[in-house]
Amino acid sequence: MNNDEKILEIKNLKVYFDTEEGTVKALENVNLFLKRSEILGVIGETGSGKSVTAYTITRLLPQPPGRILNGKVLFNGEDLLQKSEDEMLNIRGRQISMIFQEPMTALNPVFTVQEQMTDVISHHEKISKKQAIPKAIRALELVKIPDPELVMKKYPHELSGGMRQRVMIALALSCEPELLIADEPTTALDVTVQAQILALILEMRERLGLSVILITHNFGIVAEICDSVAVMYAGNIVEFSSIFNVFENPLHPYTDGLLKAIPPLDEDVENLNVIPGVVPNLISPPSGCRFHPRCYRKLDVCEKEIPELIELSPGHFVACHNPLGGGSK
Amino acid sequence: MPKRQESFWVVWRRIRKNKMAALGAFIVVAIVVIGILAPFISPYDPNAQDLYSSLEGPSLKHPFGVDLYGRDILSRVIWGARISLSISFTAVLISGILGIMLGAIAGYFEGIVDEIIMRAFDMLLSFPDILLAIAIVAILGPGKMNLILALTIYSLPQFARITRGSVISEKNNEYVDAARLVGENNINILFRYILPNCISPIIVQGTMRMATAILVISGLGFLGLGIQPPTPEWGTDLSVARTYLRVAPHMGIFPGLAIFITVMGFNFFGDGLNDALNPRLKDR
Amino acid sequence: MKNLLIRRLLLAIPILFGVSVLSFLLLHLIPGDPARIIAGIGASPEDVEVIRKEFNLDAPLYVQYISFITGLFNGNLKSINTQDAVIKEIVPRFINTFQLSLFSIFVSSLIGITFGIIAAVKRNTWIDNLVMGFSLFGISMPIFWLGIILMLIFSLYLDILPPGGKGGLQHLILPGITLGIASAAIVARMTRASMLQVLNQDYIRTALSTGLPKRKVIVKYALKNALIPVVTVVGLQFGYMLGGAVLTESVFGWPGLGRLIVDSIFTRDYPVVQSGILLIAFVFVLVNLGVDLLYAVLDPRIRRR
Repeated sequence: MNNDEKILEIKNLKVYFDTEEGTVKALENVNLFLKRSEILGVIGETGSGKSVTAYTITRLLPQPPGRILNGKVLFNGEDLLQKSEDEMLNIRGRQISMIFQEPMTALNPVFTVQEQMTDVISHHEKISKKQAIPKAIRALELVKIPDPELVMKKYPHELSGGMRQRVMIALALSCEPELLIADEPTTALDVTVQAQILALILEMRERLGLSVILITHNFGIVAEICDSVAVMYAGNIVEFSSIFNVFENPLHPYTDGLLKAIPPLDEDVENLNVIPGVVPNLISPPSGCRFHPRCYRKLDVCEKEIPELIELSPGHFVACHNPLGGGSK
Repeated sequence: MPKRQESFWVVWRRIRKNKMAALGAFIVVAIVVIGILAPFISPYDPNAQDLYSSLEGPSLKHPFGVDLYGRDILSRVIWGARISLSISFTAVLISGILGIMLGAIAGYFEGIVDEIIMRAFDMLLSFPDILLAIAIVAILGPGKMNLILALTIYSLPQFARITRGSVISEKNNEYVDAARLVGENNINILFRYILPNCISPIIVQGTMRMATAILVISGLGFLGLGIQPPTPEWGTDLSVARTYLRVAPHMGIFPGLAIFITVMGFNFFGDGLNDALNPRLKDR
Repeated sequence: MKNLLIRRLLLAIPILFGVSVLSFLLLHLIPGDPARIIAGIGASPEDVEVIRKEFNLDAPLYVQYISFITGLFNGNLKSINTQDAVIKEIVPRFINTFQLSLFSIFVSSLIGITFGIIAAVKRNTWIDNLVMGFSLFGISMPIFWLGIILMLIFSLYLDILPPGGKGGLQHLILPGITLGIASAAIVARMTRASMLQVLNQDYIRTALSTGLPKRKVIVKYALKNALIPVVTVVGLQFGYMLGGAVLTESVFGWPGLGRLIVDSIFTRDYPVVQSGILLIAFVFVLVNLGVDLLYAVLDPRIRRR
């Protein structure tokens, strides 16, 4: 694979959290990459580490309690984990932007849309806030907000949920970043609005050449717009490949279980609890493969050895001692 | 009986872990012991005059010095603890009992009863700070009983508010419905089922009220509206000290220090108790 | 906004009325004959009758109430000691108290908010513990004692500030600090708590994710939200100062209304006592009203309702 086309590559990322109860081993050897202008879905249950991964990329992980023990986050070939906070200020919002789950609370309630947008634009473009106004309006137009001049003067609570998420996206895209990290961007929205927002993200990719990491717990959304998908379980990447490979030929028993439990797109299900058992406590995770207590294909080796993420077939990575299809290796 | 309260020992362990609360508890206990044992530990009669040593500073014989009439300030401070604590405790106890009852009734029945009780208390709360106590003492005249009455009226609305708030949030619990289903009457439900579960904020409030009461007692004393001389009272003694600050600064320091340490003890203890009873709040 | 203003004003009216009735009733709530109380213990029966006439104490209560209130405004209510209209006595004194409280609330909010923010941002460090420890000190401090100590240090020993009286700015410093210390402590605690809550909000994470520097996020995006509840506390503290200033005024010989009330208690000048208490309670209610409205200005979510 040609390295140049990878806009982002995460290597052996290991993140722990120090809590009163003990050390939470939140991410263990996370490896994945994203090609330019692609949409990567990161899927997993609550607590699987998908959000921690996102915050580590932008270095917004609160430290302490978070601790990055190991790993690299290569963005256009440069390791973000080695950047100074000042350098990160120029990367966040300008090269890498984020949008969040809850548009109600993600925008500041006591400032107008204009204030929040022009602050960011003037910070990055080194122009006055007045000069930033037309850029902000253009960003709102880009995300198809009718009457952007009016919306600029509004406070977040005066907008509908879908409108707020559009404003959020406009804010994120206002400085034309290369990478957008979307953390469950549609979970809090109702179904029709959800579809509109997904369509908008797709369109932004087409128009701006944007690369996107979409964090979700909904395989239906992944199927809808992603090019590739990384499945996370208990702080590990268990399977990572193109959307086609994963859907047609899942290798990891966990992926398999998730796919069998896909809820229809119009029914948002919080728990993917069709697989028996519960997500393990990451203070004292299971030995060997963290999935083994819930796995129907468990072997003796699964309890002892941690499976590595290997490329079982070209472009198809899995971390499993007993993957589907391929039999025991 | 529904038991949502955490056991006494759990709370106790948290208090002990919290250094400030432990310090506060220690101070409170120490002052209480000093107050109770005043007749035995005070080196002199607090009112015994020795005009030859008038205004003398601290010495081995009189560690805190003596006042204008040659009275031993240490003894007066020790006896002052007895006065302050007995008055504040009585007032907090009475206002606590009345306030809890009124607040509980207001919260449990809501509607018109609630409106009347709470609006009346709003009125009392419209007199800022110490002014209400001043107004009451102004009319009734200074004296121990009037001081207790003033402090009681002053603290009553606070207890009522806190109790009302917790009763309202508590009364929609299932155990209340259950009690009603088995035919318990309102009085029983309120006082035997709901109130025991509201006790922790009330206890915290009581501790904090002790601190305020001690401040108000000494404040009124300082204004000449509290305990009248020659009874040893910290605030009253301080108001005399003001005149002699230049020649006898020790007169102004030790009674004030006693107030400060006592109030701080109650505040530290109340703060720690609050953290121990509501561990979730701690990080907010 | 206009609706809100009208509603709050309407709500304040019954409270103001109640407060005025309570102040009026002060004299009548005590068991016994008000005329005898005003006259004092040693008064002759004739003196008591004179006072009964003068204060119209035989009239029904509501008539007395009305003449108390109207007398206050038209100057018919007179001080027993000076025979001046009560209103003329209390208003200038109140202005002095107001001046002192205003200076004090300004200083204490500035200190309280600054240290509250620092404590929140440096939470669970020694700085935080120090600030919080000091704030408990401040709350526990009897203000008249603090006044005495400050006077001892700065006036008697160092001789750099006047020990009392009214004059220029230097006369305001000691009483201002004395009166404000508890408020500074309370405001610091409130700011810290509010700031900690706000710093955990999603919109702070959003602001950080857009690349705005942390300092700007805290000073602009977090602070405006965090200050909303703090404003309420500052307003309440200001109200308390108006009433609580009496102790400070007494220490520093500041000619405020609180001191006039206390002095009048000793000289049994009940019209002045009642009117003074009424004025302070009145302003206290109005200050609270103002705080409610300020709240609405700061928080656009309330403004709309």
